[in-house]
Formats: sequence, C-alpha cells, structure tokens
Amino acid sequence: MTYVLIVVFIFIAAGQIPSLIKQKYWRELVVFSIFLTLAFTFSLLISLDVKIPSPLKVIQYDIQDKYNLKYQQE
Amino acid sequence: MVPSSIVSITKHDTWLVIISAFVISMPFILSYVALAKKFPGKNLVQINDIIYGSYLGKFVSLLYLGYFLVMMSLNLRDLADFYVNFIMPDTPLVFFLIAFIMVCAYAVRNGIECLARISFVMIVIWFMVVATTIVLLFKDMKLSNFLPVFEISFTSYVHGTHLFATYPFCEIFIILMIIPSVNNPKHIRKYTLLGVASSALLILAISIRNTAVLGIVSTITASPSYQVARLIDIRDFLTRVEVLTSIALTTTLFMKVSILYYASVLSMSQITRMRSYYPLIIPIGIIAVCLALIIFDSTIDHALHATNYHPFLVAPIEFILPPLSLLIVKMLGLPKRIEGE
Repeated sequence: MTYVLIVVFIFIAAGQIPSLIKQKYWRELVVFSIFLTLAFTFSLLISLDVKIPSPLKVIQYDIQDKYNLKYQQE
Repeated sequence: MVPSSIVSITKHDTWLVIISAFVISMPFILSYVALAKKFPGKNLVQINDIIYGSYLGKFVSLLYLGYFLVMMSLNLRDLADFYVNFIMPDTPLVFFLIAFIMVCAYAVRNGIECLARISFVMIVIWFMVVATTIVLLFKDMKLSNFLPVFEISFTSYVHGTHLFATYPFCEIFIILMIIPSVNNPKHIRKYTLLGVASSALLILAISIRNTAVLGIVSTITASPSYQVARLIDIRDFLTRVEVLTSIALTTTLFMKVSILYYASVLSMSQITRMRSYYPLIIPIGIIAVCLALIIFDSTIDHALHATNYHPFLVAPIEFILPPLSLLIVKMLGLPKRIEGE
C-alpha cells in the first residue's frame, strides 16, 4: 500500500514539475512542492494507520463543548 | 438536497422552517451581493486584502480557505457515506472519495466556464427528478400528515431555522469567489436572488413531498428523499425509481464539491500570489480526500455534528465576517479611494 502511494506521488510530481521548470514558474514550484509534501505526509500517515485527530472534533471538544456553543436535542 | 438530519428536529413542520430560514438569510445574501458590487472584478481574497490590509487580510482569507476545504471534505464524505450506506455496502469509503474527486479535479482543471455551462444541464436534471417523483407519488400523499401545525417547541424552530440558514442558503457566499468571472456584472443581484429563490422553492417542494408521503416516518430514515422514491410502484411496472434520486444527489454534490474545490484552489493560489492555480489542483484534492477520511468516525458522528455543532461552527464565517467587511467598507469609503489612486 505504501509503495503504491509512493509510486503515485512520484507520477504526480513527474507530471507537474517539468512543465513548471520549463515555464520558469519558481514561486508556483515552491508552493506546489510544499502542498504535495503535505499531501504525501497526510496520506502516508493514513496508510500507516496512524490515528490523526480530526480538526472538527478538536474544535467540538475544546471550544464548542467548553463554551456551550451547540444545540442540545431533547 | 435537503439535510436529512434536520428532519428529526423539525419533524412535519420542516416546510415552515425552510420559509423562515429563507426570509432570515435574505439580508445576509444581499450583503454578500453588495460587497461584490463595491469591488467589481475582484474576488473574496482580493477584497480582504483591500479591506483588512495585507497581513490581517491574509489571515481572514486563510479562515475562508479553511471553510472551503472543510466544507469540501464534508460534502465528499456525504456522497461516499451515501454510496456505502445505500448502494454498495462492501466497497471501502476511500474508493468513492478518490473516484469522485478525480471527476471534480477534471472539471476544475477545465475552468469555471465549463462548470457554469454544465450547471445548466444539472439544474434541468434536478427539476425533472423532483417533478417526476412528485407526479408519481400523488396517490400516496396524505395532507393530514402536516396537521398538528406548530406542534414542536420554539427552540426547535430556532435550531432548524439556524441550520437551514447556514447549510443550504448562506453557503451562497461562495459566489464572492466566482463573481469576477461573471459576464454581466450589472445583474448580479437579480440573478443571485433568483437562484436562491428557485433553490428554496426546490427544497420546499422536496420537503413537502417527503412529509406528505412519509409523515412521521421521515424522522427516522437516514435519507427521506431516497426512501420516498423507493415507495414508487406503478402497477409493478415502474419501480426502482430511487436511482433517479441517487443521480440527482450525485450531480448536486458534484456541482457543490467542484465549486468549493475551485474556490479553495483559487483562494490558495491568490494568497500565495501564484500566476495560475493549476499546479495546486492535485495536492489540494489529495488533502481533501485525506481530511474526508479522518474527519468523522461514522455516519452517526457526521449527523450529530451536522445538526448540533455545524450551525455555530460556520456562523462567524457566514453571518459575521461578510457583513463586517461591508460595514468597514461603508465606514472608510474604501472603493472611492481605490478609484482615486
């Protein structure tokens, strides 16, 4: 599973980066690399079954439950 | 698409709640349109940069970007949950997410014009589906299902109105990202109001159909629209019409996810001042799929969040920030200064 992921990401990078370099879009290249690394880390963690806390759950428990910013059904 | 979890709160008075939510969200929608009219040819990120300055503006734009991204993965999750729960129970969730995001990525890659052109076809499909199911279900409808009107408690009305105002109606503020590419900026207000009104009418028709056919049963089904279409049976000849509902749901969510996808990609590319948004399409799509996978543990979790937490979570972004921006613009007289430069 992890190998498949790595191959897929190599394909994506190989598809995008040469055209960006050819057009001299350096800023775009930097942003693209940052986001692709982020996406790769994210999907790698999921494929390795690492438990990532859901951002919505964090907001629910830490903010909305604390200050009662929610509806309660009877 | 009617948020089905709300039916468990507002029961058979859902149609009243939809009307009141439509009336309440009207001033907010007018404020979005007024904001767009103040800055012709500029989208939300550029407007934020002008109003709040470059640093605070970036922060506000990042808030909006987070909203777009989270809404996109919520809608993705909605679709995948629907397919797993009703149609293909043994298929893993991630398959639907990836297949769907690839179609949306293709649509976004082709640009906003392509999306706008296909949206017309989709609208015709939705109206046809709703009209067909209503006509075929005429014999099953019982108007007595509506009868104890105003039966539910006042807090439930407030809750339902808040939810409907945030979930289908005030989401329209995403047009602030699209308005710069509109052909004819003079008629923005007219067409926005027309669009919101027709969608409200469609939602109203769907909810009246569901309540008239199912009655109190609609409060315990996971997807009333799908359940309603299952009941269609014309002399054992015309059955299984629920496929129409799933087509309508898939196309609606395709449209919604594509527009949210376009908005998040475009806003990210403008925050980082890129010259084109194409390189961001694939990474942001992958991040949205990952987010959709981890965001909820189960469908129950999703429904609980959608009914109880979601209205407060998105209220600052939909109800407070755009009118606040408009207020700041009015007080500082901003666009005039821009024109003077």
